[in-house]
Amino acid sequence: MQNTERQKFEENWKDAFDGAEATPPDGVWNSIELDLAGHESVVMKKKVVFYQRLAAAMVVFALLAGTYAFYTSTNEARGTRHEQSATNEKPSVKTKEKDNGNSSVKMKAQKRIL
Amino acid sequence: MSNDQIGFMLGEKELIQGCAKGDRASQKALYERYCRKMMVVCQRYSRSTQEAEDILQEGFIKIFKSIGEFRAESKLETWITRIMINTALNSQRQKLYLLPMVDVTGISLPEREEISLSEFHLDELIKIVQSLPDGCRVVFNLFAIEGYGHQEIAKMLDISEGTSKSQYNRAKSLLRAKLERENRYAKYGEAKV
Repeated sequence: MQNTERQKFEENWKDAFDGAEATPPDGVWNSIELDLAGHESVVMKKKVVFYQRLAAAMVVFALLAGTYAFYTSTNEARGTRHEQSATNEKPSVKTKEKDNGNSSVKMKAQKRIL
Repeated sequence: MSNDQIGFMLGEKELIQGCAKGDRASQKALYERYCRKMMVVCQRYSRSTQEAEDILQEGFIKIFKSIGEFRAESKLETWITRIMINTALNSQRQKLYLLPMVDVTGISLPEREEISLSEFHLDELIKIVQSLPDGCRVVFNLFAIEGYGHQEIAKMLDISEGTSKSQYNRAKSLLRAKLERENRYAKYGEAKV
């Protein structure tokens, strides 16, 4: 008996509120809209800051990459120039050595004469 | 064609997709579709209309921010109602901690004829529910209207099952007393005590 009464009590209340509607004032939507706009502007600001940082990082990266490329190219150029000069210089060393060889032979011949 | 008319014509799926993209017309249309039902839900859980409006506002902001997570496993209305109830519970939680639940197991509920609620206007019923103490009101709403069991309510509110039952009994006896008083006043014009 008590159980059915208990269920009836709950059912009554459930039915009373089932599909019930009450109109909220317009101010509620206005406040929601303001909050959403504020949230969106915060999101936009975060996006702007993100893209600004990304752009700055890209500029720094481009500068670093450019500097690196410049130094490596100049080093390579120096290296090739150095190699070229080294290859140019080698025969003269040999001639010197040859000259040295000749002069020592000459010296030995002079010693013999003496 | 106004935004409201566009919103009325849109299907639920389109509304959800529009809201997820942050389209204001879709958000307004969704609000227009559910705000009246949700207002009653908020009124049932709060002490005043002002408090209900605050919960409604906070609830809809949460809905718009998290609608992308809605997976259509339940009806949209059920999902929206659940968010509203959670928002209402969060706003009440501090009060529930401040006002510790008291076990009132001693309350006996004499068998009596139920007063028909159809004699009352919705505003009167809301006022009667709002007049309940915070703990009783929350437990009454969750048990009688939402249909949760005492075990679930105990988990939700972090209270014991016994406290949930006793708070519900207290709410029930207070509601009966209020209804009888209102009914007597309406029938015989007795002064309200």
